[in-house]
Amino acid sequence: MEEDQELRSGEENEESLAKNNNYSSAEKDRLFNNEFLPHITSMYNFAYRLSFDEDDAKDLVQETYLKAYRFINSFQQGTNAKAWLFRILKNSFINEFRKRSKEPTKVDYQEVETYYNSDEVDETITTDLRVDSLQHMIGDEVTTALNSLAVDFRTVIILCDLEDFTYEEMAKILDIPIGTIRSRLHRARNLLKERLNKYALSMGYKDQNNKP
Amino acid sequence: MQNTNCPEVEKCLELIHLVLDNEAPAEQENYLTEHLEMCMQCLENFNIEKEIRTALKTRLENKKVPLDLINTIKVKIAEID
Repeated sequence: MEEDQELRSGEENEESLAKNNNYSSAEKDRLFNNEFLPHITSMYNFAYRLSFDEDDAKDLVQETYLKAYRFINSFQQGTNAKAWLFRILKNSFINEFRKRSKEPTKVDYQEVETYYNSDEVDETITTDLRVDSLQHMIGDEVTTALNSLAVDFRTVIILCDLEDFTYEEMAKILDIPIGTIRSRLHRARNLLKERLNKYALSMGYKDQNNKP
Repeated sequence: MQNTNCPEVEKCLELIHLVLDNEAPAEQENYLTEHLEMCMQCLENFNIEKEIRTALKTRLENKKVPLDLINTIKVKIAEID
């Protein structure tokens, strides 16, 4: 079943199917309260940064936790609960929210995919961005720059830089190979840098050529 | 500082990402450390990439979880049981 597939914990699929658990009520409650609920702030912020909408974020998080509870027997104790929850949330977002997403910049998913999958080497993006202009930026500018990225690029940056997932964990959360994580991150970072550079320029930090 | 035009700037940037993400093997990390001692362009890239990560970590607003959310979840779960 599709839902079952999306809920398997990060382990190899066949393996984790074979060792489905049968937790007691007390164990379920313990897992839920001690391993799942502590991640709710990260989950809610991830959901908000995907959907840009507080109600959608709330629904996503609620749905994720309910799914996590219903399928708690496919969670392997000792594996990464946060990664498991993020994976469920990401899949819920794709399945139900993306269609009616309130993103300001609608992205043609196919186009984005084609872009990733092309073997084209990134053209070198040379920006004037400097450390001191970054240090002058305020949260709003960083937020706007991040939010302006297509959802797949935004996602890898959130998972890596805000949530500190490893490439391997990200590969499991997003169901893509590590090599794709690496290249997608690389592109995402180049795009982010470009956006930040635009802000820096608009703020008047364009003295790259005059630097000592 | 010697060169300001690294012939391998793109490759170095990829390595910079790996190192900053703690995903580079030790020998690659050592290579980068040595390279940065000599290459100003890559050192600047390194500092910028590091600063972008800091900005993301420290400047983004974190939303507070709505007060009723945990409660709603717990109520719904009690209904499942």
